[in-house]
This record gives sequence, structure tokens and C-alpha cells, in this order.
Amino acid sequence: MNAPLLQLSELTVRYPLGGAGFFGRSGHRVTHAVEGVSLTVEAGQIVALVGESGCGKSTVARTIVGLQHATSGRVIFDGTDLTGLRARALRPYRRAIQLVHQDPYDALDPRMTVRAIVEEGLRIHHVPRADHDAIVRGALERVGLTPADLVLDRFPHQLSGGQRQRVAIAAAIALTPRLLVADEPVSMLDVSVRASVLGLIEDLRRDGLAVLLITHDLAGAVMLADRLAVMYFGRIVEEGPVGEVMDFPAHPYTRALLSAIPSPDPAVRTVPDVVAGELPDAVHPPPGCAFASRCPVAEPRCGGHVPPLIEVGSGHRAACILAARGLIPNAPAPRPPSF
Amino acid sequence: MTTPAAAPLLEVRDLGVDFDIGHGQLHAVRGVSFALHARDRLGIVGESGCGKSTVVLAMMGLLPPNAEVSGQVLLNGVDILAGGDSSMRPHRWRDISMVFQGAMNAFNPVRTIGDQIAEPIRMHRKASRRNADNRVAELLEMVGIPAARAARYPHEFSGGMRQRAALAMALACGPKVLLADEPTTALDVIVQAEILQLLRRVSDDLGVALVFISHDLPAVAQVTERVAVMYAGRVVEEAPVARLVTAPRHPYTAALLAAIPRPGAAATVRSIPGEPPRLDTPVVGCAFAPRCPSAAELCRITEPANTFDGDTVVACHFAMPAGLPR
Repeated sequence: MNAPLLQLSELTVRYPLGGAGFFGRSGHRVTHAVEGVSLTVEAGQIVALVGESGCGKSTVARTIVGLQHATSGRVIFDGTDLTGLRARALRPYRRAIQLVHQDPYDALDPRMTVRAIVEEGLRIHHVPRADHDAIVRGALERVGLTPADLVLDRFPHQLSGGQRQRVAIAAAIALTPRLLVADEPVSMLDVSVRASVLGLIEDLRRDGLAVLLITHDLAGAVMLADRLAVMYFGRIVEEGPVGEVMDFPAHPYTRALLSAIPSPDPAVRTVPDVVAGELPDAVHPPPGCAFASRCPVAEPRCGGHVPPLIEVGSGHRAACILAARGLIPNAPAPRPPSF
Repeated sequence: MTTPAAAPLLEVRDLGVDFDIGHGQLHAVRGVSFALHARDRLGIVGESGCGKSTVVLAMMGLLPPNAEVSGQVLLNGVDILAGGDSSMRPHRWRDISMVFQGAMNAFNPVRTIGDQIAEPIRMHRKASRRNADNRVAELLEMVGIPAARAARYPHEFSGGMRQRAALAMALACGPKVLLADEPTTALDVIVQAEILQLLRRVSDDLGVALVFISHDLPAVAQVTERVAVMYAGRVVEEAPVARLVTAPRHPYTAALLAAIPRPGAAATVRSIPGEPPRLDTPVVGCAFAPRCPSAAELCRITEPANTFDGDTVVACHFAMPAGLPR
């Protein structure tokens, strides 16, 4: 087997608090944003990283593209560890890994035309100027903004949300990246255009692009992804092939997420299978499983130590002591029925 | 439409909103009508810009000065729009209340949550501080927040808790009608499911009539009995939700349903091609015709009228027959 395109190995990101802080507290306190995340993305694969806001999924994205330093652990892209590289050595990788932001309303400079937005990356990466026009048009047409002439000289405010997100994706793919990190690419869009942007990502994958899709929309992720990784409180709690995770969700949190997807059928009331509660304190993380405070099947033992990810199926891992004993996967998977 | 003997609590009749935008008029809402009894729950769904928020802002009398509102909003048979702001004021918050879009981010960061929820009680009910504080405790418990947290500041609450607090605030003066504009949109699925459950319970327990606005049809289907689908300022279909999701009669409703991703039904999601029409020019024919798969010549010339069929209202020349599943 070839080495994976992207491999995160025990990635940990902690944000320092205090220091020369607001009230002059000298603190060694840190927020534990990402703890020991290991994840691989193979070439041409779509991997979805799902979890609620504040679980650390965007921090993972920012660390992969180099906007955030890793506290420890490695980001290995195509065999090279990026975490140790200086800016100059990192530059080709910055081109090969592109980030699409969540909010197409904020991500585009309102004073730049579509042409200038898509061209900016080409200038930064010293693509010969003579090629710019063809590349910009090609990228815009690739994302479905055809003919490109219609949008080239427009400003972001003249475009709809879906068109803006396409421009942002065009700017990313103009640089012919090998990995696209898409951070909630459709959560700001109308339902009616979401499907077409997700369809575009699927098309790009067919061209050989690998995608790390970061989202809290489990239903959208399931539609698109080959593999699914579920994050909770900075850690991956379950990971595996989409079908396998959907059919045999092993972690109680994954099951809660699935049970919470609203069904369009009013006869099927979604009642989330979770204890109402708050996330633990990220400055003083609990010694045991972080989900225990909301878990419907938690036992006293869950508070003892953080459960490791263990194999619960083929290529399917979960971090739960009950799953380890084979107690959870036998229960029927909660799933909103189609109608 | 269901027609119990009693007159409706709230009736919106032929509501229209035009905005004066300097170089012309923008027809944001045209001919919207619906009625609610106590405990009724109506959803309004549609894409951004279809006019759904404008409808509820008009009902609250909260539109900017360049808006021209026509039609009637009858509360217990009395038109509260007729006398301008002075006729609206005694009803706002007391009889009709609203949870705004993004309300959870609208709390003042330097005042406690309890203090902010108490404000409408002290203003509208002229309550003493102690009475207001007691009412705040009661409201917080009702939405599932421990009363002791009234003394906390907004940043000490999670997004879901702030949304619950916003709901408590909207219920502070004991309204009969609650308008909720995208109350779950920025929330995670689990928190969203909790808020949807809470909305159902509040309307059942307090007998509040609810208008729930969202672009998320599944979320609406979880709460309301009826759904009105809006497109380009008009209601194109209104029906009991179970009927609407299983046998939509307007092609736009069918298209919206087909765009919803559902686990287990992979690869069947279709987006709606094209974009909603501009509303600053009069719409000729059916507004949805340019994007409609079953549009014919007639649709481009004549705007379809509302057809009433049992408990369904549909505005389409070629509405799919009743009882035919998708």
C-alpha cells in the first residue's frame, strides 16, 4: 500500500491562556483544543471530520494548512512532516493543500473582482503571468460558473451565496492542489444550493483531488465521504468507512448525533439519545471520557481514564470502554427512516 | 383549511410588503394569508430572500420606515396594523412575541442574562424588581436552565443555552403568539433537536400559537402541524406537514424536498437549478417558472391563483393531483 497523502499523527494543539494576560496573570494554563488526533486521507478520498462547534475540528483544519502551529504530533503530507518545516520549505505544500472557508460572505475581499480573487494565489505562487487568464477561466468553468466572462469582473456582493462559495473553491483549485480542506463549505448556504456545492466537491474528487470535509452536518457528510471521523472535545471518538459507521455506530456520541438528525417525516419525532449537558472545561479536561457527563450509558469506570481508540470492525475504531466490550454495536442503529 | 367554530386567535389577511429602494419598489411579500388558533403551529419555509422573515417582522410592526405594509393582521378579530405603531405597541411582546434570528448572539455581554430577561417584564408588566426576578427564575426553569444561572453573563452560556434564554425572554410577558425566526439555524444537531423539542413543549404547555420560520424543512416538520412554503414573496403551497412532505403538490415544494440530504438515501439529492427572481421588477407569470421542470407557456404569462382544496392551498397551474405520492 502506498503511503497516505495526508497523515496526522498524534496531533495536539493547545492554546495558551493568561501569560501576560488581561489581568497580568502569569499562567501556564492552556486550552486543550486538539488532543492526540490521528487520521489519514488517501489520494482521491473524501474524509469527513464531524463534530459540534468547539470540538476542535476547525483547529485541525488550520493546523493542516499551516495557519496554526501544532503543540505536538505530526502533519505528514506525501511523506514529509510539515510541522518542522520553515516557511520557504513549506511553500510548495501551501500550494498543494488548499483551504476553503466556512463563510463565503466573509472569505472574499469585497473590493476585489472575481478575477483578482482567483488570480491572487497564482501571483503568490509565481505562476507565469501569461498563463493566468487561461487558468482563472478554467477554474471558474470547472466550478460551474460558465461562461467565466459573466462573473470575471464582478464583485462578491453581486454574487449569490452559492456563487461566492464556487468562487472560493475556484480560487483553491486554480493552484491545482492535491488536498482540499473544506471547513463547513455549505453550512452558510441555502438547502437548495447546498446539494450542488456538495456535488461539485464530489466532481473534483473524481478528478483525483483528495478532500478533508469538516462539517457538523452529518447527513451531508454521509452523502459524500468515503470515511467518517467523529470528534468530541478535541479527540476523535470514532472513525471508519461511512457505511460501517452508519450501520454500526459504536460510540454513544456518534449514536446521539445520528439520533438527532431531524426527519422530514413529522411522524418520526427526533429525540436525541443524549443527556442534556454542557461540554467539560477545556482548561481542566476531565481525567476520563469527556462524553461521560452526557452519555446515556456511562458507568463509573468511564471517569477513570480516557478510553483509547480500539478496533471495533474492519477499519473501524471507536474510543469507548463499552464498545470495547462489544456492548454497543449490537444495539440497533438509530437512523431516521427515508420516506 | 381547518375550520373549528371558534374565530382564530390570529389571522393574517392578504399581507403585502413593498420596500421603497430609491429607484423603485421591491415587492418582498405579496398576498400572504394564514390563520392560527391557540396551540396551532405553523411553519414557513423557503430560501433566503423569499420574504419569510419580512412576514413576521411585519406582524410585529418592526419593519424599517421604507417598508409599506398592506393587508391585515387580526388579533382576536382586531386589526393591530390599522393604527400604526400606537395600535401595535400594547400588543408587541405581551400578545405577540418573537425570537429573532441570531437572538442567542444579541444579548448584551456586560449585563447578566437574568437582568436582560427581566427587562421586558419590568417595562411591559410594570413589575417590581422582586416580582420580575421571580418570573425570570420561573421562565429559566421552564426552558431548562437552572434558575441560579440568572446571575451569569452571556459568555458563560453555551450557544444552546443562550438560545433557550432568548426563548425565555420572548415568553417573558406571557404572549399568545410566538414568532420564531430561524431559532435553530446556527446550532449543532443535538442542541437543535433539544430546542425543537422545547418549542413543541412550550407551545403545548402554555397554549402559545407558534409561527416557526426556517429554511430547514426537516426542522420545521419536527415542530409544526402545518407548513407554508414561500417563494419570491408568495405562499406557493400550504398544507398539513405530513401531506406536504409525502405528497407535495407544488413543483417548488417537491424540489425543496429533493434537496434535503438524508442518511440512507445517498446520491438522490438534487439542487434546484437557477436562482430566485429579482423582486424589484414586477413578476410576470409564475415566479418559479424559470426554474420549474414542468413549466409551460401558460406559466410564463399568467400568475397562478391560489387553489383551495380541502386543507391545502396551492398556487400552480399544473399542481400535482392530491393524494399522488412523489
